[in-house]
Amino acid sequence: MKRVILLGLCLGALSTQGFSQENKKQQDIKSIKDMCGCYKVTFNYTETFSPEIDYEKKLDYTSGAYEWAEAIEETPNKVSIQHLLVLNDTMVIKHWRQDWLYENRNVFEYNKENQWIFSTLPKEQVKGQWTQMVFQVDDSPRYSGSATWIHVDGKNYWENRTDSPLPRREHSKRNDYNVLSRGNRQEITKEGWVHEQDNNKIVRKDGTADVLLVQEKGYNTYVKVDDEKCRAAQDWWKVNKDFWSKARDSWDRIYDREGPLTLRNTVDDKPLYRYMAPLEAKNASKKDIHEVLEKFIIKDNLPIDGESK
Amino acid sequence: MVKVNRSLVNLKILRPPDRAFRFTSPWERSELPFSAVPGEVKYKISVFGTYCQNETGNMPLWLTSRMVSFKKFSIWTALFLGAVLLSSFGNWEQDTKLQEKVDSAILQAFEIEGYTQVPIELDALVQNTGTSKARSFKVMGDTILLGYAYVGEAPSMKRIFDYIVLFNPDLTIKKAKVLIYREDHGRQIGSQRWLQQFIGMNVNDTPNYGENIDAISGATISAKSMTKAVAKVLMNFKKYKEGPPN
Repeated sequence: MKRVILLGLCLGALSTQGFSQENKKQQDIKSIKDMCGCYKVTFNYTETFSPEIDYEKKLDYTSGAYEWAEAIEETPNKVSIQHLLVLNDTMVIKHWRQDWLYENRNVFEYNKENQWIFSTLPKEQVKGQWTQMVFQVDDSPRYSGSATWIHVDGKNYWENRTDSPLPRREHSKRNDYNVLSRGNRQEITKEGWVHEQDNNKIVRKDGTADVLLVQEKGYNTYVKVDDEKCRAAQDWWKVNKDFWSKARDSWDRIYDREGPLTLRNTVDDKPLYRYMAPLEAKNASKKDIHEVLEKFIIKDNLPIDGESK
Repeated sequence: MVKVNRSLVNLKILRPPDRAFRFTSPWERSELPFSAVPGEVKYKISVFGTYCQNETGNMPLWLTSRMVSFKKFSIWTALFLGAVLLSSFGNWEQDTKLQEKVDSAILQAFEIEGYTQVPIELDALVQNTGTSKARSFKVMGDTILLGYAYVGEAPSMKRIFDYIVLFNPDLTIKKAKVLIYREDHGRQIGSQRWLQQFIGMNVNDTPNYGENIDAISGATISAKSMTKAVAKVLMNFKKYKEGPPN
């Protein structure tokens, strides 16, 4: 009789734990999907501290737009959100994409000079965690990082530090640093959500330790507004989603690797997104898309300095 | 009597055991005619004291062999040479870093990709700024005079900092920058929001802290020091502009 009671208690404890984990996962998914919808977005960045006294801080960067965020793929362990900018009510620009993967082990980390290192994390390291994978406007990689969604004291947030290339706002304007170590914090708020960043602008060279150029605070607010404000983006996505689904499939074939992936900045002086636009316009086939993507991949893909850092 | 325990150096005999230890240099041969086996400690020498120790006890150095004195001298010499080497490497590193910062400041301020320095030799520069490292030069782009530069040092609260003052060809200040600052306190003087007050001043102007140059709370010593330094630089360039007295 005692054995039966003990067994019952054990089973009860296990099922409670399982229920609790599932409940937590559902909370995580809710927070992730809370980032979907139409938002009035403000982008704010300011440089803060530099270790060198002669560093002259650059001007603050501020911008704003409406942004439509749509869950374009959802499975029990994955939520993919596509962001689309809406300018002047009618102009739509395909913006970033964030994929959220539960207990995912395959990640990529930015090294430098347009090179990402693909690797597999240990199973125990990612338990209960979500990987955020962020992709550029042409679905090429940007950065990824794994961490646990936190739901405490009425707050729901996820935070992580990872390396990335220069942000688009500085990509063509600066060459005094080559890696952005991003401190990302995404918190769901009553009004929508906040993307807070504590970034380090890093100079990375072969065979030497990283050098911090300057730190930067980023504060991007997403305030939820009526979906109607993003009507143009919703319509645009309906027209173009098939093409971008094929583009994602093509990229996924390329991302299925261990080790480095180095991409060319340009081919014939044109960046990738300028090749993607005409492909998008004619809803090109996977084969055509893949042919273009292949042109941007540096084939030897050896690590730049033999080490990832 | 002798405090040698903390700083003793063991002299061990490392010669082969199959033959008597034989000293080869005259001072060893004359002073220490003894045999020994490898690893045997014959003397312990205080590096920092004036005593040495053997199996019979401690004795003043002047009673022991010249070998001991020589070893002690060698240790001190090695320590001294090491310190000199380290110091010169540190200076070289500092000078390289400063030169990189000077170049960077000039390239950015004049918005150029390269330049040549043509030194200006003015005794007054060194005398008035009180630092031997001070230097000034013309900033040349090919054969065109782009401006002038003055690189100097000034005191902060406890240490010194390096700065540069850049001039337009008409000797108005184009830019002032603090290049290397060696304290945590008072770093506000590196801010261009404060330094930009010097921009446009000419050789007839005199920057005065708290008057035409804003004070900085929490960085008074360094800010005053930088203001005085720029005032002296302007005075020097005024003399340079006026030329040598007839």
